Amino acid sequence: MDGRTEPSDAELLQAVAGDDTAALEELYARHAPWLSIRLTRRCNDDSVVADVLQDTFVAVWRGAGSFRGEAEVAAWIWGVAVHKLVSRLRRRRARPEMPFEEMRSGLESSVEEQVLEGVEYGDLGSALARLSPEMRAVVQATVLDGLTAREAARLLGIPTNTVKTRLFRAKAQLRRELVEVPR
Amino acid sequence: MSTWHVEASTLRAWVEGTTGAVVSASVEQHLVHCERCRTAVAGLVPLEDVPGGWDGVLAEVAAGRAGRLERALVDLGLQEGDAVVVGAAPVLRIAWAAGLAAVLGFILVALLAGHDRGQALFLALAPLVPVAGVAAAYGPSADPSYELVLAAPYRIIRLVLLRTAAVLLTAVPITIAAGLLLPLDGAAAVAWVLPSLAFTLAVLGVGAWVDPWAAAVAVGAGWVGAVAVSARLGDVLVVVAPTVLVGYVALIVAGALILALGTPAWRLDGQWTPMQPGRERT
Repeated sequence: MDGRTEPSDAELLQAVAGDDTAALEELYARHAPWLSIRLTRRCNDDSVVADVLQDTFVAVWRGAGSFRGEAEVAAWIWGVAVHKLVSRLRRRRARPEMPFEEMRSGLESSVEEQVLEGVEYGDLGSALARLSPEMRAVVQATVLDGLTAREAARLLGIPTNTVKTRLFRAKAQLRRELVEVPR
Repeated sequence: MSTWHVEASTLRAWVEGTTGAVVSASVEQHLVHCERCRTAVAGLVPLEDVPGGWDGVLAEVAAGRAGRLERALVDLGLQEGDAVVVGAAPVLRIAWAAGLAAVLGFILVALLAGHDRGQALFLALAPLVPVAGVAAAYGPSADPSYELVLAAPYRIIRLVLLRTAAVLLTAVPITIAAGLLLPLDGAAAVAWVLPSLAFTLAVLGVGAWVDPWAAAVAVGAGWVGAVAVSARLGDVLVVVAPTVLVGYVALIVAGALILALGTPAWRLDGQWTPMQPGRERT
C-alpha cells in the first residue's frame, strides 16, 4: 500500500530465526517503544519494565523459529511480554506499584472489540467508563491482555477468586447497561 | 485492515499517560494490529528512553548463542526453533544427568547384591528412567520457556513428543549399555525397553487428564511393586514373559492412539490445558 521496500515483521522474524541480530535490533526498534508504554501502564516500575522487555526480546530471539506465521507478530510479542510481566512480578513476590486510580487503561469485551476500536463516546464507551477502576483493571487483564484469572490475580496482587467475582460483576453491569440504554 | 488511525494528539496523550481508560484500551487494541500507528509511537518514544535498552538484549543474546545442546540437536537435523524448545527445559539436562548417575549407581549395587537380587533391582529401575525423564521435561512447573510456549502458535503436543524423543534417545542407550554390562540373561537386558516405552506413552497419554508427575509416580510404584512381587514368588523374569509383553504392546498402541487422536485437553491451538485439581484456567 505504501510501497515500502522494508522487510515485514514476519520476514524479520525469519531472519532472527537464522541468527541475525541486526533483524532482532530492527524488531526491537519497531516494537520496544509501544511495548514499553503499554507495559508501564500495567506496572509503573521502570526496572521491572526493563527486565520484562529484555526477557521478551531474548525469548523472541530464541523462539523465532517456532513462530508459525498464523498470528500477527505484534500480537505474539505482546503475548510473550505480558506473560513475562506476570512471571517477573511473581518472582518479585510484591505488589506492582499500580494504584487503581493510575490504571489508565480500560477494557473491552472480546465481542465488542470491533466496536471499541475507533469508538470513543458510544454506549459501550460510556458503559466501560462507568465501571469501577477495580472492575476495569480485572476486565483489562483478563479480556484485553489475555491473561488467565490466576495470572491476572498475580498481576494485580489480589486473590484469584476476587478476579473472578469482579469479572463476573463487570460483565453483568455491562450487559445491563448495554441492553437497557436505548440507542 | 481498517483505515482508521489514532489521531496524533491522542497517541501523544497515550504515550504521556494522560488518556482515560476507554481511550487507552482503544489505542492499545489498535496498536497491536496497526503498523502505521506503531511507527508513530516509535517516533514519539526515542529508543534511549525505552527502559533497559537494546544493549542488554544484545548481550544476553550473544551469551546464550550456540548452547551446546541446541547445536547438537540442530546437527542431528532438528529445526533450530525446535531444538531450542527441546533444550529449553534445564530439567531435561538434570534428568539426563540423574538418569546416568542412577544407572551407574545401580550397576554397582546390583554387582554387590549378587545375581538374583541384582536382576530384580535392575528390572525394577531400568524402565523408570525414561518415564521420569519425560515427566520432568515438560509442564508449567519445569519449563522456563512456558510463557513463550503459551504465547506461541506452537503445537504443544509436538513439543512434548520432541522432548520425549530427546529423553528416550539419551536415556535408553545408557540403560541398555548398563544392561549388557550386567551379568544378566540377555533377554532381561533388552526386554525392559518395551515396558519402558509403554510407561512413557502411558504417562504422555494420561497427561491430558492428570498431572504427569502423579502419573509417573503411580506407574513407577506399580512397576516396582510388580517386580518385587514376582521376585518374591521366585521368578523375576515373569514381568517380561512373552504373554506380559503383549500387554505392554497394547499399552503402547493405546497411548499412541490417545496422542494421535488428541483429546479435549490437548488443544491444538497452542495451549496446554491440564485438568488438574485446583489449577483451573478461565
